Amino acid sequence: MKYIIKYSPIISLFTLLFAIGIHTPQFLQISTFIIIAEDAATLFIMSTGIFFVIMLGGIDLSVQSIASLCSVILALCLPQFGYYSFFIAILIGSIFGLISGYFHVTLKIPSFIATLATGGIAASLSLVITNASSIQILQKEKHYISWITETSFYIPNEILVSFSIFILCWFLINYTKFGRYVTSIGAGEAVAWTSGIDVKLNKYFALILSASLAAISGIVLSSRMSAGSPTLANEFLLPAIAAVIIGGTALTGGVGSIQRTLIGVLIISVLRIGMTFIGINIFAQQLVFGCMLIIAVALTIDRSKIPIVK
Amino acid sequence: MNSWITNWNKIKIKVKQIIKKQPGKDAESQWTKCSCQEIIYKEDLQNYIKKKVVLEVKNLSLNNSFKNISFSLHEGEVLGFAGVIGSGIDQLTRVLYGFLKPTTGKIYINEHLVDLNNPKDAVKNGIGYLPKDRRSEGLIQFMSLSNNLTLTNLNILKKYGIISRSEEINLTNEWVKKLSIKANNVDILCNYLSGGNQQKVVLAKWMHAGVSIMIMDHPTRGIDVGAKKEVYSVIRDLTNSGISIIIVSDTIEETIGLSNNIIVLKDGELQQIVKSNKGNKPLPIEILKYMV
Repeated sequence: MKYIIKYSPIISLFTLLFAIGIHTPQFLQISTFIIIAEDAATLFIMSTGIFFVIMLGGIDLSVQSIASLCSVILALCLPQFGYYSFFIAILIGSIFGLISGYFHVTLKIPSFIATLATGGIAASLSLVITNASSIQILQKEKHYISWITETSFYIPNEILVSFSIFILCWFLINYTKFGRYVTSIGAGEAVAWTSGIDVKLNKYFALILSASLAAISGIVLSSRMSAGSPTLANEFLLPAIAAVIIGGTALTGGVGSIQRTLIGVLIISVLRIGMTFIGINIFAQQLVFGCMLIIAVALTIDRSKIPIVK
Repeated sequence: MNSWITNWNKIKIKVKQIIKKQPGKDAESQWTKCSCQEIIYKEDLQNYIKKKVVLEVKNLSLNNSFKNISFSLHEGEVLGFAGVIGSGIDQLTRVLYGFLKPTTGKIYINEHLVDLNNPKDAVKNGIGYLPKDRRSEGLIQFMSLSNNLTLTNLNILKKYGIISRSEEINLTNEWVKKLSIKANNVDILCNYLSGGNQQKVVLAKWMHAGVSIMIMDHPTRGIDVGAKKEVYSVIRDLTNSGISIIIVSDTIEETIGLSNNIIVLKDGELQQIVKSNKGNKPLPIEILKYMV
């Protein structure tokens, strides 16, 4: 039973692929897989950020608003600043991470509320600066974003971007002090604090990392759509959190891995693309994600040992 | 009354048998500790106090807990803290590790004035802390033995800025052997270790971090008799290698047996510093009269 739960994410990924493949055989094609990977790329970048915060034992609800805001900022800055606008967008994203960090760590507000508030600020800020309309990236500015939209070696560059982020974050969580500290804070914050770890600093880092990765996912998304919009990344939050949890990272923190998050993201993307192949109403997607999330959370944590659920 | 006495004797015999079956071969001596105190607490290995002062506390006060505490801790010394609950010793140990901030007073480490705002500052100044509550403050229960052990000093594992897993395994194996920790492998979750072995992991965690002062808050709480003895010999090894120890203990006998000097607190005030040198140990009553 223990092993079934451990390997259930990867089992369900292949089961899904087969199930959809039997229903519509044209689903199992290289071109479909590239579509899935493209779809997964942005979601994965966002999920990776949330993964670090969940490993800490917190949650980051601000990512979708930060991603939208950064897409807007990128679209606004491109005519004037060119390549620098990517840095500006990431910088502003990380500032929002810093703000959530200040709320959560210094003011000691639970991460749920702190990031919800930051997300609200980011969302309304992007609505205000755009007057609630989307901003097109013009044809003459397209060359700036070509490094994301083009393909190299038959693989879309956005997949390569998210793959390099995968490598980077895998290294970060497994082989650096920061990664080790994040894991130990999630597994036992009091012990980590008593062992002389700077818990506050690491929480700040995790929230800033999460927001920066959200900004990058906003950049990739807006390059793909060649537009920035204050509602661009809406409907991303639930799948992003669901991906982390479905992959088997415990919501209580301390247990999980980046590979599992990747599998979680792939499950979500296969579901998303698969549902359009089968012909399920696109509005029913969130319903499926919601159900998946509940099942995954119920499976990953042994609830018999938890007396109180808040 | 007679039947009560015979019953009581039976119980006593049973208890003795139970203790015998616990780990630690001659646990009998624990039962009759007054006569065998020196053997249990490894008194023969006790250090004489060296001159060098490693920690000096001057007029330390914390609101509602203790006031005007001054003492000094020497190299290789075991300093016992004694006092009833509410006397302020708990708060004093927590102040010395930076959990609480004192209202007034100064702490000097190696003759330098230090500001202990949090445990991180304490660790930076070479203080280690063995907590009273192992489960919530000592070890991360659902993390592997090796990760727990290396948590206090990840810098020594780094090779080109990368944490080396093989170094970690080597270090863990070394300490598992040194303190004879009973664990199947280094990746076992600490939750599956016995109390005594968990305590040894906490000790190892600080020993490899290179601390010069250890604060031991009830180091033998909830561990079996055999493991207790091993903790005592670790304490003696530590002091012989020049590490100073502050100890708050479960029993007054343990405090007397282990310490060079005993600080007695009552109602937040320092009553007396009782000398407890090798071969010249005070009786429990001499400490108790200051405590209550």
